Amino acid sequence: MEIYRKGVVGVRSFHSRLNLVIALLLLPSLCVGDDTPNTVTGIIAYSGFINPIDLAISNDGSKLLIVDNDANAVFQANLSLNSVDPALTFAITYPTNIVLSPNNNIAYVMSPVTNVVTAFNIATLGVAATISFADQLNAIAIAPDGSRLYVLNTDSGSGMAYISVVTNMLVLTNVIALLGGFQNQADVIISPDGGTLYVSNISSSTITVIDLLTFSQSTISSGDSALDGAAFLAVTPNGETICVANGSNNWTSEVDLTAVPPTAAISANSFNAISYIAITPEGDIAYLSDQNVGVPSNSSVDILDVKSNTVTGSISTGAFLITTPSGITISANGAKGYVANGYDTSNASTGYISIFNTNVIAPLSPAGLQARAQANIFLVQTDLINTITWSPPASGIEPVSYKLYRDAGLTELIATVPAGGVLQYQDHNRQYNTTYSYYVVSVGANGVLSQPASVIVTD
Amino acid sequence: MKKNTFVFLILLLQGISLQAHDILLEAKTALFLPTGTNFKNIYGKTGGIYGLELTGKLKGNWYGFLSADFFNKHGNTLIFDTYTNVKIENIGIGLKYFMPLNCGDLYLGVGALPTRLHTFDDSQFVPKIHDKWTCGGIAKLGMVFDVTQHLFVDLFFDYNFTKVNFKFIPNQPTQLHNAKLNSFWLGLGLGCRL
Repeated sequence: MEIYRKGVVGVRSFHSRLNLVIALLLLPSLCVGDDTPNTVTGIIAYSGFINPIDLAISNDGSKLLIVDNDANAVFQANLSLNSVDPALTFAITYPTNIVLSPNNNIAYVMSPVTNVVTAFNIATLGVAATISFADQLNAIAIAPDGSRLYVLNTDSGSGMAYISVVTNMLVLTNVIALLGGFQNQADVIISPDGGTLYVSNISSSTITVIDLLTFSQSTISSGDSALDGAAFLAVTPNGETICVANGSNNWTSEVDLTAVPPTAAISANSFNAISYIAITPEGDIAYLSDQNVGVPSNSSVDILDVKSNTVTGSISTGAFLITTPSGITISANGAKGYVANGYDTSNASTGYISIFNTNVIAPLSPAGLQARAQANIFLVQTDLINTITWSPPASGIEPVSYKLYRDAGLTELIATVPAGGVLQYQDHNRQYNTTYSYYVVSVGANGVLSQPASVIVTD
Repeated sequence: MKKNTFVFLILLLQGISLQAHDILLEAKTALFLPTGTNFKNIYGKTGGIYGLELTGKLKGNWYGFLSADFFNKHGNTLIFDTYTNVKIENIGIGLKYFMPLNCGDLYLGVGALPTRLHTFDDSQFVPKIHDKWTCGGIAKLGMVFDVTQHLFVDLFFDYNFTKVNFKFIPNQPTQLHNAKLNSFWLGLGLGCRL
């Protein structure tokens, strides 16, 4: 399965530019109401794009990293502006896959042509590590705690697949041979608890399960055609279900990991060619890149209800918006989806990123966020207090509560404030001459978070 | 309490017991008028202080005095309105100089004022209790009126200057600072000559 293409940049230039101009002119008219679920709301276009094929989004939803195979680059888009920042372009040879460290500081990018995984600092673009491999690279996965990188390799001589384990960003510490010999492995994912690897085997129509504690292996097979051509994988946040894209077999399936042994069942078989899969943080919906190579205008992003294992619809609002979907990702709050549209050979147009609303409607950010440095002065001591106040969002759905964090990555929760009361939080025991940052998000009834509003204050 | 103060106290008590020809014992009550802004903001501009004072003749018009006073008041912080309580216990020791007048005996005095400060701050975000001894000073101006041969009334106006030092330590949950207990005491004593 070819998931990257070597560049043929020169022959595309005229059509590419023409299509880009058309795209940019059409952009304003292509934006629809922000609240409509499962609808394309716009695109991110950039003159440097040729063939974007994989995406990664930061936890705070502010930044999208775009792997462009033919542009030999990883671009970074500011998602508050939906535009690429040219200054944050990282040059790399034929990249195909990307994963981010949990703190979003480091991006790991796979280059199968050179058999190299490059780790670079997202903010500074400095190379943190370059890890070379002897054999072909197929896919990468990162442990939830960021401590390990798992690289799926194929021995170019024997065709045997194995997993390379990389620790501390650059040390290749272990190799896990995959049992069963040559099976044309396509993808590797890791369970949310970091304890298990799942590797898809296209040829044998199975999924290999590797226990990372004991390194014991087992195989999931369906007994029918449910795992035929199993290629791309995604696991739900609760670790109970794997969604499988069955590639050229034109269907998807689900593996129920709670069953003993795990069972697989086909979701639907009316697709074109499902490749990348993204699952919402709630784990209820999977979005599937469904590419019709022959007729790009028939491509779409399909919506899979994970619980019922049924396809409930698709997102495709026109030939321009989703034409050659590949890499797909969902924002951490589950409200926005992004799909990379690669180079379209049917009309020689360069790629772009489609933005779509998921079925999850996020509330808007809190309004009027303010922070005041105050002091509760006793006779012999003073408690320095930062008082944070805000108002409900001016429009959109009504939040049920608000969450305050100390960091932009929204990992250090300070408090949860109910929406019905006074919208205020007092952060006690601060220090003199210190600047504090606060990030406040609205929480919808469905648990979905808004984008954060931020404020700083100095005591 | 500092060692020097303690030694001074012992010597003075010995002086009173050995040399006094005239001993005055009185119960006092006074209006406590703090001068520190922070103190006034929290506990108000007035309060009551109560105590006992023993005055004994040393030589000529010079007298020594030994007193114990107690102040207790609660208040609330500004802005956040947090309940807080302060207790101040003073031991006064020093000298008075009496000047006989027609209507009574006017006196001036000065002394050391070993002081214990105890605060209770009712907030979950701060250490609730602070308790510390320090040594301040006191200046006295008063007039003793004899009511009978043994009973007398003392009208006095004292000024106490006491600062309790709390060392500021960076990176602690709360910021410690010094407490100024400076105050005027305008009061009345009722006593007897022993």
